[in-house]
Amino acid sequence: MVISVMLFYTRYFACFFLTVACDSVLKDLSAYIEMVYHSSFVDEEGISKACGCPLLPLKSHIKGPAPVSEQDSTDIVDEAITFFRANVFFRNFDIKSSADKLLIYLTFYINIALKRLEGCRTLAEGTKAIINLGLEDVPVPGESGFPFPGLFALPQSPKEAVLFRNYLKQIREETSGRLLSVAYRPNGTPNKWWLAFAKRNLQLLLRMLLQVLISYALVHYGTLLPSGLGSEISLPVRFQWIV
Amino acid sequence: MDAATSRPAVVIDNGTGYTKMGFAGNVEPCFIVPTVVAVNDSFVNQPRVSSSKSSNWLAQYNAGVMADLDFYIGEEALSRSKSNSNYNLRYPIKHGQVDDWDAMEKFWQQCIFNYLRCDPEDHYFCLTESPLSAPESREYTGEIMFETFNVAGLYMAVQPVLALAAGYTTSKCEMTGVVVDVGDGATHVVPVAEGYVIGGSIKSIPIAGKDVTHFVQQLMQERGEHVPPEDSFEVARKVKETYCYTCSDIVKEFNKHDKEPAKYIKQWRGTKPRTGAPYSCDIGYERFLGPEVFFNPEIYKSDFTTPLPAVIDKCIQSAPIDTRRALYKNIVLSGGSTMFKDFHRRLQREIKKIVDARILAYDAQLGGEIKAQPVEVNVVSHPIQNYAVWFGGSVLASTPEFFTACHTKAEYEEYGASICRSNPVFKGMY
Repeated sequence: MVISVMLFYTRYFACFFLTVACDSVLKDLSAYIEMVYHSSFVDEEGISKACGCPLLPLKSHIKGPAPVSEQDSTDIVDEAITFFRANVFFRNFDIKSSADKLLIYLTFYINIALKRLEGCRTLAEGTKAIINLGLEDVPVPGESGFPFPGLFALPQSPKEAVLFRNYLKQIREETSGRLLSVAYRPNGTPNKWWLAFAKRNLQLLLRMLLQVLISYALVHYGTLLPSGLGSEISLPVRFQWIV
Repeated sequence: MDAATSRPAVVIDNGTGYTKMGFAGNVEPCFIVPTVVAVNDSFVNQPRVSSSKSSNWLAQYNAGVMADLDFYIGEEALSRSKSNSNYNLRYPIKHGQVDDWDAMEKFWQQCIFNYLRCDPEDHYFCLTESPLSAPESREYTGEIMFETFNVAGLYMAVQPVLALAAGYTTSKCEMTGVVVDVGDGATHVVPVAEGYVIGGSIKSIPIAGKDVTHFVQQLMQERGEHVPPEDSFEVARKVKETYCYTCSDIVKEFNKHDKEPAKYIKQWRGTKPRTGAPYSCDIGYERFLGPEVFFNPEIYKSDFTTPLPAVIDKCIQSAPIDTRRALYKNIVLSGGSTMFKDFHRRLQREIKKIVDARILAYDAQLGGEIKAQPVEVNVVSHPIQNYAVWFGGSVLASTPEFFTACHTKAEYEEYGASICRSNPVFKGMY
């Protein structure tokens, strides 16, 4: 008798705490509308991974480990270039999928490339500067030059590190090529609407919003409990009855 | 007394950036001037000469008196200070509160005698103040008005209540609503229930018109537009007022600008102040990035990141629960910085998103047994937003009840300045 009362009491309290926690988390979240632009490549079926990051397909003619994508679809490089001018202003970026990590890396790379293009008056000079950038070392996660320590997982084996390095090289070259086509007008003069962003410094603070996942779990778990225990109004009546 | 009540009252709305003044019963203010005073400081720091040079002292004394009377306000002050280095600019109002009473008194003096050209003894005055100002400031204002200017009567209204009054029509007089006052220096979100401000729920954010201008200036400088540096703030301000609009999505706007530059990129033509040579510059994506600062403050400042719709929502949620639905239904915009095209539509959309998300979450919690009634969100905008506070003052000061609610000179002489601390709310039109 006493044990059943105790069990009943704890189940009620658990439900109460869950709803309170869920409520406060959701209140916190609902007041914050996420305005940064995220990648749409959330589906990771059948895509090989390296360092915790999916090796997404690219519309590329350059040789490398990336799978080839169709010519008239948008790939991650297109997304990075389209979102760059908006995302460069933001300081908080909540990571919703692993493709977002690649998006962040590309946004950072575009910023560096634009800084190199700052003094170049013609397309030829710009191309030279970008080629010089491409000849520099490409660090992988775990090495000292990598810009976002802790964002990507460390490579598990030297083979994985080599694979990721080659993928990064390929994606950087691809991005540079497409960037040159938008940063310079058809007659070879610089496009000031893009080069103005060379002066902007990327200041992203990355937050893994696991809260999103936790709160989703709470909401769904909360609804699985028997509905009779959910309402506080019925408690005094129930309690009296059992006692 | 009767003479004063038969004449229209004078309504002066002192804001941080601009002061709007005029007579009650008019649709728009007679004058909108920047709240700035240019004083002649050249004789303040003169060394005290010995009395042997008495003639010099007399000349200095006269010059000092003249210097005290020698001041300008508004646009004249700005132009004088540029041309003549003797004049220093003073901004008497900071963040909605009067900071420098000396300068404020000078400002009012010029307003009444030079601009409006009325005799204060013959008129009742309706002044405005910020909702969170201290009662002492009302006392000082009352003292200045009654002692220095000898006004017939005085009423100090709270700006958000007047902004609500601006939305009155003959059929609808809503005294409950949230006033979003986005001015030049400060932005306040003030819930008002039945004419009384809910003081504990007032929220203010540090983003205002001046910040938008700074951001536009920054963007133009980054792109290397050829604007003479001493003029760049003024040019940015004019660009903001003429060309800025609110967009629904930043990336789509960038794409629109890229695809049709002839339609979206505007030209700004000006003349260089020193040489008089004309110059022109392009205005591009700062047209929509400027007002975006209200919806994503982190693109401009890193220390404040809550967007305006979220602040409004938090403010309403902190108000008493029985007023919340009425508050959501009547969100009134006022202030110059809400004049961006489509500002109210974007604001309504964002607030509705927050509110709908919350209702969905509650429905999920309750497991579908009880469905919450959807909350109606309505952001009201009308063509007189720019000086909605002044217009509300004009409307209220033209009703007969206004004169009974004012503090009169006789009361001031009887009881002293402390009567000015409280100003009763009166029902204006009904």
